Amino acid sequence: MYLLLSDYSRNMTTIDTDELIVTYCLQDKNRDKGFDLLMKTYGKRLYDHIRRMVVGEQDAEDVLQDTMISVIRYIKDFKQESKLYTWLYTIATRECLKFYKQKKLTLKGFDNENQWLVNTLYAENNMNAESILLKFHAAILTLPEKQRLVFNLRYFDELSYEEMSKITDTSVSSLKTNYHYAFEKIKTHLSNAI
Amino acid sequence: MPFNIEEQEDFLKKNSPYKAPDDAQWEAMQQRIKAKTLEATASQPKNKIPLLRTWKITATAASLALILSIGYLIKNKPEKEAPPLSAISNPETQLNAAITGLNETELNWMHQLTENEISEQNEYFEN
Repeated sequence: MYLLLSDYSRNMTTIDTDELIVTYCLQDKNRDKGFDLLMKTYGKRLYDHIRRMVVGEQDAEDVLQDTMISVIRYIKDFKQESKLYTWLYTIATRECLKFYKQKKLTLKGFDNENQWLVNTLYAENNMNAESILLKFHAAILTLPEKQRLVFNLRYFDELSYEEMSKITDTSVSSLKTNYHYAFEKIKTHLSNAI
Repeated sequence: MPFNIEEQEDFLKKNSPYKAPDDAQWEAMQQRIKAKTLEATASQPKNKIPLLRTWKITATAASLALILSIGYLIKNKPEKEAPPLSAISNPETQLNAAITGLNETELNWMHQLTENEISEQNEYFEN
């Protein structure tokens, strides 16, 4: 009973906070308050998601920046049919995919996107290259773009397949298949690497 | 020994090789993003009106200049020089003018020439 009440009050709080964020962001005079609340509530989750996708510290900041601009610009179009964080993840994911496209245009070596991302991971890390954690993340970065996205959203962000379906605009069955393949590939990759 | 991801799951989920910004760094980054975001989103509607005005002024000035230059060209259009008489007249008039200028000897020679040509042509067609 306590748990149920606790869940209920947490959900109510989240909904209230979401409404407050939307209301503030829509008002010119309260937009900075809305931004602060938005960053306080979802900023770190979004940053972690973006960082796992684009890897580089500065790139992650740039993508988060673009995400926030899009969020503030289009929050008037947010129909509160889905949860705010699902909508935020959708925008952040689109910005990550846009980042890949831009990199492909500007960087010659980005044709092999996976290797470029793995190299960035090792370059920006002081951790021992033999560390299992580093190898695990390197294995994720070797996955195809779609599988990487699905794996990250499911494994780290623990989103439901229904939520992921809204974010990626992909069917649940396709997401399940992608996740299964991603999981198996990572296991094989790590088994070979160790 | 094969790696078992399920056994390590808790460790792999809760730890990250990505160096997360500490509180001070996070705050600084948040402020940078906030400043740029608010600037980018606030400048858009404000800029729209001056941009529209500038565009209207430019378009009006360009149209006015175009109308004036067309008016000037029409007003100062050079009149066409009268073409020589020979260009205007039809062949019959030209022939009449040429014949009028001939003296009698020249006229006789012309008649002779024409008669000879006609008879030659008749011979050709008869053959």
